[in-house]
Amino acid sequence: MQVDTPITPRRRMSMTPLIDVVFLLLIFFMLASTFMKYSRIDITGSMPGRAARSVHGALYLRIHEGGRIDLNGAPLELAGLVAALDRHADDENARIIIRPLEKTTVQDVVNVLDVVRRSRLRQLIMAR
Amino acid sequence: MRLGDIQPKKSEDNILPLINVVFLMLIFFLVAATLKPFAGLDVRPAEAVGGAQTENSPDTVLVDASGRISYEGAVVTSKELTERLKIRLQQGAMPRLKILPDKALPGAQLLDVLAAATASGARHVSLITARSPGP
Repeated sequence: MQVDTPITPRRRMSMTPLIDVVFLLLIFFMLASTFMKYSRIDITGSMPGRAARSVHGALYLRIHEGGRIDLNGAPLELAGLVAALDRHADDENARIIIRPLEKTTVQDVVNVLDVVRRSRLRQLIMAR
Repeated sequence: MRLGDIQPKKSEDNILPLINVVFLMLIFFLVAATLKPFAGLDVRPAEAVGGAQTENSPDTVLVDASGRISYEGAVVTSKELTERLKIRLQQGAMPRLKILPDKALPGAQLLDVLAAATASGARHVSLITARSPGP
């Protein structure tokens, strides 16, 4: 027996819901994404408020208003900081204590940390 | 004069190029961009030349210019921050605590946040900054 199966032409699938979803995804990603590149400055081991073991070897770096700095009381330019710190790098007790004073901003602190990171000193303490 | 039946053009044919473009844009944003850290706060990161490049992650602590702290999508006080970080540390691995402060935040308040964060027992703390192209 022969059965004729009528071949119905397939209806074209509607694309509209797909396009809706794709549009929504596009708008979400456009609004929620950023092209900013982030970087990380490690301040590992810094324990604000912890008592220092000894005064010996401590380099006391103060950040003043406007980003001016002084190292152990002697005013210094940021450009000369790496050289000044590296002079103490062979001292195993050497550690740098960074203290932002009144009216300094995070940007000032980050500028200093950015330079300190380039020196060979690894022990860093943030102090109030 | 009688015109022959004009075959009505399928409307879907017209929007196919549009869909192609939208798809391409979607794929571009998926690949090229990263998601912003979710925050109820307006935070403009400080700029630094150096530092290891990093991805932003949802467990970043955000601090805005007035010192308000946002963690895991909620604005918290510094005490609540310590408590929440303690819970996170007890739950297991939190390899590195990331703090993203606003560039106009006073330095002393940054230290307050750092103190609150380290009070939870977090050992590895990093500041997150925007990567500037260099001097």
